[in-house]
Amino acid sequence: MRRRLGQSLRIGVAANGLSLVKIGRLFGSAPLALAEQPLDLFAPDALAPGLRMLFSDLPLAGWPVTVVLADELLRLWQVTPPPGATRVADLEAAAALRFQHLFGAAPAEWRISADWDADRPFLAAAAPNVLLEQLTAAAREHRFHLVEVQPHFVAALNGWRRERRPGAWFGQVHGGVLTLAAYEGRALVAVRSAAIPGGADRDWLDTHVAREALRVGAARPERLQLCGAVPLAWASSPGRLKFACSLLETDDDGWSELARLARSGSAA
Amino acid sequence: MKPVMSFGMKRTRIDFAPPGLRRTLFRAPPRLVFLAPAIVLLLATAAGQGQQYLERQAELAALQAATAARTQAPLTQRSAAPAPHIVIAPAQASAVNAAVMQLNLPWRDLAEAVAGATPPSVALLSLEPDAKRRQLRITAEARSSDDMLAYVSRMQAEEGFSSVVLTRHEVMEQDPNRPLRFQISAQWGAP
Repeated sequence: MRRRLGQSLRIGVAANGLSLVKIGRLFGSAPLALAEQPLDLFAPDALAPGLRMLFSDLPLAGWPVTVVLADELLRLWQVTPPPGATRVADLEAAAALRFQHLFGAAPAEWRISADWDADRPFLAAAAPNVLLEQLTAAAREHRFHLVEVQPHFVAALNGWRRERRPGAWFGQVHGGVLTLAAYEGRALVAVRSAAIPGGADRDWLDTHVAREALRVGAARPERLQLCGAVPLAWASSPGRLKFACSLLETDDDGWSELARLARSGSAA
Repeated sequence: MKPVMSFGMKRTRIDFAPPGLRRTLFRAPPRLVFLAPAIVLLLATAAGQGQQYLERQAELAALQAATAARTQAPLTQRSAAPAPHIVIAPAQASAVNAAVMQLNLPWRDLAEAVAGATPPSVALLSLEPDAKRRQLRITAEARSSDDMLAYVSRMQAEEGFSSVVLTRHEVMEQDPNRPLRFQISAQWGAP
């Protein structure tokens, strides 16, 4: 597999499988799904053989590889910096404390990475150490360069950041779960996830957004930008003027859920 | 409401990848690749300029060495030749020494010391230093002999002068004020 300028590989890691996508960051080339490998990630030592099968006939040596971890494998939460925090250690302690409080897990088994900010609440994520170590080991084994390991939602936030507008809420639909990032201006207020009930339509979305706005204490957004496998019916239509809803992606582009995970943040 | 730039949102920097050069390069905006030719060109130009500079530096050093060698050659010849050609007569030597002493005279200090010790009732007419004998001859006029004697004793008290003596004095009869003109000789400095 020849590598052209600006090209890199993306591995999507979900609880039910792995996927490999080739993307080009230059020249606006479309992502290309290369392989998929269903597996049960929670089975002991499932990742390494799974990756071996995923890469079966693809020489990956020398490629830059980014990994997108499905949100169900991670913990994602919001941290309010302690007043008067001056050092990164203060923020780290605050994030660890909040993590323990919210999820009850020992921070020693998790690695926390966050968009550290001493002035305003920031987003933090924790990934299991075991998973990250397995990924590093796979990078050594297949001699590729692990350049980025991101939560799925963060990959989408970053991938669509040029399209996103200040004040608009951002949402992602994946695996029947809608994750919403509530914004006020440029400041992230909260990140919340909810399962989408069967047959959810635009009315359900309106009510859901209104309820979430109340719950997080933010004003109802004027615009909602959605990515992922979004039902076409959720797009804005005349007569419903509660808020505009723009779909960055829809669910009818023929991509499987696993491949969509690996590709997240780039349009097909 | 504050006007906001419609320029997208900032990146959320959450990343579990191990830090390294590859990660840093990957995080750089991909469009920087298009700047690479410009950067290479700049570096090449800089390298060329540096090379040229070093060459010129070497050339300059060679030229300086050659010039130094050329000027050094006659010098060494001259120094190699002994200097006994020039015979200095004792009279000439003493004259030169005297001139040097005269030039080395602490004239300013002397003049200041004398001026400082001179009261307003005494008018200085001339100062004649004799460098060889370290002697200063002062000619002055005073209104009365008391002023003159006071001046002499004051000069005697002055530091830096020794053996201050009144060598001569006369009353200027032609002058209607009849001033007293006198001459003092004083030694200065340590003998």
